[in-house]
Amino acid sequence: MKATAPVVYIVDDDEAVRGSLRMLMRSVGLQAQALGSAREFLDGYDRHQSGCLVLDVRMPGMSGMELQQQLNQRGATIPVIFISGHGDVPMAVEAMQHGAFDFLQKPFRDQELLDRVQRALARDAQSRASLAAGAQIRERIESLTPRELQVMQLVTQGKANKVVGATLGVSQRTVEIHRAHVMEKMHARSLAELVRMVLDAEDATQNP
Amino acid sequence: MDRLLRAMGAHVTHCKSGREALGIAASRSLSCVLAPVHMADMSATTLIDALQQTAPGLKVIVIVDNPAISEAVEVMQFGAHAVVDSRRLSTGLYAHLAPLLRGQ
Repeated sequence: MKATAPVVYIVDDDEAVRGSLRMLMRSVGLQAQALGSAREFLDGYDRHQSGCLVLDVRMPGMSGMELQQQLNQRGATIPVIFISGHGDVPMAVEAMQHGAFDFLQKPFRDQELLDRVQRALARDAQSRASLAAGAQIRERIESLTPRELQVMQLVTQGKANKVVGATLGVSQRTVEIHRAHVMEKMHARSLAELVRMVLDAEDATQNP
Repeated sequence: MDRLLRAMGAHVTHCKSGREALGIAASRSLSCVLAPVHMADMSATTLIDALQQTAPGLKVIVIVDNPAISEAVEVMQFGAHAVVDSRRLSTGLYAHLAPLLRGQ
């Protein structure tokens, strides 16, 4: 993992917005990198670089939402702050369901964005510190019973409790109880955090 | 709403308060909880927080009257599965509840 300062990536097809946001970030001492397209960001993305992503929803070519999906498929944990001048509630809900850190409607005050960026950077740092504790995660996984391990594998694949129950031949309530034990033993505060732990453990296994 | 939910194949249980919902969720398996953002005894976000302790993984869809984006985002950040505008209830429930009922 790189020990460099976090970078605020700004992805917006509007050059004026890019320039102004980059200047805003630099004005408070943050490192910022502005890119004109989702593809450009994706091509240069390094998951080991800490930071956050300020992402326009609507762009020609790959949209912000599509970029978010691509990042999710790659197991990226970078916090994403969407900005949109044409957003609506269903769009914001969808973005949040897919793990967005925040969704901000344009126009916004500079301080509103800076506050969110600072929170996103704090979240990223916290998340990375948690992920760095790979050995601890492996220990926690080893503390799970075989059934809890099965439940964890299925829920982190996005399966609902009902489906997990049907797959394992147990009641939904039993799954809920196993799931609560998994969350407790894994010290996970949310499903997203549990998914990150599992991905990190898999990553550590594949790239020791 | 009741007719809509039954048309979607849901078995519906009504309750009058967040506290009652917590009691039901602790004793039975539910696919989802639908709750208004404001209730007499607690807010939807308090309900979500409490449900995460008693029935982890249980989805909560929050119904808000004409929500602002910022309000919807805030509720989502508290862990709601979705925020649905009460003025577009059927569209919202088909989008977010129907997949849960199908077990997806």
